Amino acid sequence: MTPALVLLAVLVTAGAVVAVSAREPRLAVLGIIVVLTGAAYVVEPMPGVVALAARLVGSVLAGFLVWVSLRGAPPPTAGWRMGWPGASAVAIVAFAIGWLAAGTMGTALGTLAADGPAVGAAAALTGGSLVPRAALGAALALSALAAAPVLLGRDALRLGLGLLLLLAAAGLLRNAFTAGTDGIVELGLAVLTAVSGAGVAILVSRSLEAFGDLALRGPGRSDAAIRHRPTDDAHPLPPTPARDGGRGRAGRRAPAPDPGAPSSGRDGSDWSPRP
Amino acid sequence: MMLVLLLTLGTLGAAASAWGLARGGRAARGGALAGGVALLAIVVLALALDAPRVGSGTIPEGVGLLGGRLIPNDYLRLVVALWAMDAALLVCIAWLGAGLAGLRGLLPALLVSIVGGTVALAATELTLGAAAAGATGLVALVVLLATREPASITPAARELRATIVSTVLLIGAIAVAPIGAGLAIRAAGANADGAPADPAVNGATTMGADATAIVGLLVLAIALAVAIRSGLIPFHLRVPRLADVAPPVSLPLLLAWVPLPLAVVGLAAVDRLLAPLALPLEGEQWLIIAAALFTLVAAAAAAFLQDDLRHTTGYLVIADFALVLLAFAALDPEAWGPGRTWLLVLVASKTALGAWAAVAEGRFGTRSIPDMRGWIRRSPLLAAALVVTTAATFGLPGWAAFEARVGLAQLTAGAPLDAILLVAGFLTLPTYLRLLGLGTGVATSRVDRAAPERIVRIRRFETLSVEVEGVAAESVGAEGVAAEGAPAGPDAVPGARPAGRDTAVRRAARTSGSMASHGATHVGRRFARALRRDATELTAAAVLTLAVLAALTSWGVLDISGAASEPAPIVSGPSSD
Repeated sequence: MTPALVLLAVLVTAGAVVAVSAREPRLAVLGIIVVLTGAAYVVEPMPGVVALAARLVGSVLAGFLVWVSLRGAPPPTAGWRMGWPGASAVAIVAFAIGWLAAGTMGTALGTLAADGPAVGAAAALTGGSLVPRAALGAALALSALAAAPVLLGRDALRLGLGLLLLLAAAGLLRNAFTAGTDGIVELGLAVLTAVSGAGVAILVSRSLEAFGDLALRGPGRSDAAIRHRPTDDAHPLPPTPARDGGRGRAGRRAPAPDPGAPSSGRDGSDWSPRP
Repeated sequence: MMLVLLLTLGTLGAAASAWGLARGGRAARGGALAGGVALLAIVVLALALDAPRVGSGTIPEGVGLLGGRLIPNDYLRLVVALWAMDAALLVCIAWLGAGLAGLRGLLPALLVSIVGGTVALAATELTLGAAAAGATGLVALVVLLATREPASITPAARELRATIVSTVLLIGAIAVAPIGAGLAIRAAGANADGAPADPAVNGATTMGADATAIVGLLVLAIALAVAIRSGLIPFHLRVPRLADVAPPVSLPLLLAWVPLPLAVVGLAAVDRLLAPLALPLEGEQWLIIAAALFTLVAAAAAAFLQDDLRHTTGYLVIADFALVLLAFAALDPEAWGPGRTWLLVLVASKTALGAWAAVAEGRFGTRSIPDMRGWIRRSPLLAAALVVTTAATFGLPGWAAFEARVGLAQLTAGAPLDAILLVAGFLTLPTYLRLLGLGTGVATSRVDRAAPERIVRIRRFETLSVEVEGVAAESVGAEGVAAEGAPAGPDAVPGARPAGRDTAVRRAARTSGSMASHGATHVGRRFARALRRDATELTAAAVLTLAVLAALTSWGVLDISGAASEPAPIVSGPSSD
């Protein structure tokens, strides 16, 4: 069982690489589904059926909701500029660091606990099992891969996938250091995963609905600054499509955009209906 | 049993209100009614909750839930009751201000957040509590994205990021904490048992240093999680932008209530897993104290210098949250009680402040503080509310709020730093005084134009019966006609009678079998209309009620300090070692 779980940890890491580096949104979501689903099972000993089922349902639901939110041929995203080779390199290094750190930690705990009971929370780690090492390695790899989209992400999908990667990393960290798993706690984590997936999905959906792309507008570019000017402004701004629903001053419909032109929507002016 | 009922009611109320308010019309009225009834029922259930004092003995059968993973406690009872009462008043304010459209997003979010907060505060497993607290934080999306405003997408993304990052930090710290604690305990044991020259003792000493470093990092991670979630400086940038796009009446929920469960779970993690180790963590303590002090000073200055009412409110909330960091910096189980007391005072007083700001903005039609000069002349009830809120924020000697401030400062640092921290906690006072002082000035034209707080009774007038197409019209009051006729447009005249054909149809309807339900709806609409006619006074009264609730909390009614000081309902498990 142990080699299979270690392989699963590697597969989870590979899924994370796909999630952060793929330019095709659906492929990236496929990667996150693999990560969320697999991360719950890199644990030794295996939790009960209820816990396994709860995590499976929560993970699949989260991924499915994000998948559904991308209906209607979303545009390719920028992906990670480093590409998949760079992402793979980061993941491998982080995985190795986590693996070695877990080994060192297990050795230290085992030395100190040689004449006494093992630290309960790290029984598997001190027992020499490879699964906690793989779990910690995958957790670090996922965290490293998620750092860029979470801290610098300007794209609703990339940010959301990064956050879901972080959630999976927290679960893996817990798997590495927890001796036993509690069905109710697993259920709580499953609910958190599903709700987070729903949050990402609704964010992506609204972004596509409003702007036709996934870019997150800064405060200087969104129409928030326009909409929230004081109502007693002495020099009100002229109506814009974002404020009057696409009508000009005379109530005319704004000219239809060129279907072949890229949907920039940077200033919130691109309100053309998506095909 | 009561806990199950509370959670079920909250969930069903949230679902019904979300479904109904999204559809509009009769469904919206039904949904809003269901949500409102659920809120009131939660208040009653929370106060009637059988909450055994933790540590007082065995938990009676039937009190816990999910095999003892959720156990109600006194603190939970008070928090949920106050949360639901505040929520009900906020819903009233939102409805009076913007009708049912003002409840879309807000009412379901309030109910869901109460359910999530209840689970987080009742959890006996820290990871479960952290997961529930994280899920609670996601209600911000419900509020922000309900408006379908493109401008709210980016702030919603920031809220999502802050919520999940803080939750992940907390869950990660809880997972690693037993390792650090185990290392520290075993290193201490080896040091105590072995001879100084023993190589095993040297190894243990090294391991002890490593354990100290790990535990220090964990304390910082938990404090960081709370700082990110509550928007402390330097993580404050999302707060003004959130205040710009969120409905103002929802700000108390988003800024004050939503971070509360995460802060409580973070405090529980430190109190139960890390503080009892009593490791020398001066460096980490100083770092947290510095962050808290900087936030106290900077947020107070920003609040005073800001001319935007919403931003000022946001910075006042941030400044008060900085005091919560002191409970982490103390690294003393004694700080658990004052920390949780202060959290409750914070949310109660900031809810009153946020509601005051929302009502004032709606009343005077501006967010600019200078434009609100002279506001007290037009709004004495709001003035009273702000005075009471100020008193609730700072408290008086002997009050729970004041004692919590003093306790946190003294537990965090010795003299003279404790005095500095205590004084820094009062740095927001000038902002409150500025708002009050500005209100006594000469009223601006904007304030002059605002509706005064004065109950206005429109005298019902009699109309003569007339024959229209052979049907005798009834004499009805002006307000009844205005509501029963066609949808009021810009040209609608109060008191205008509908066409004779409509009157005939209505007469026929009155004789039909649905007369009873129609009458009830009619009475309900008239009641609602009567309430909204005096919206100015009623919103001010609601804000004053919130302020009084905050003052009672600050005073320490219902033994809030005692409830906050009772041990966390955490049981030992395989992961807590």
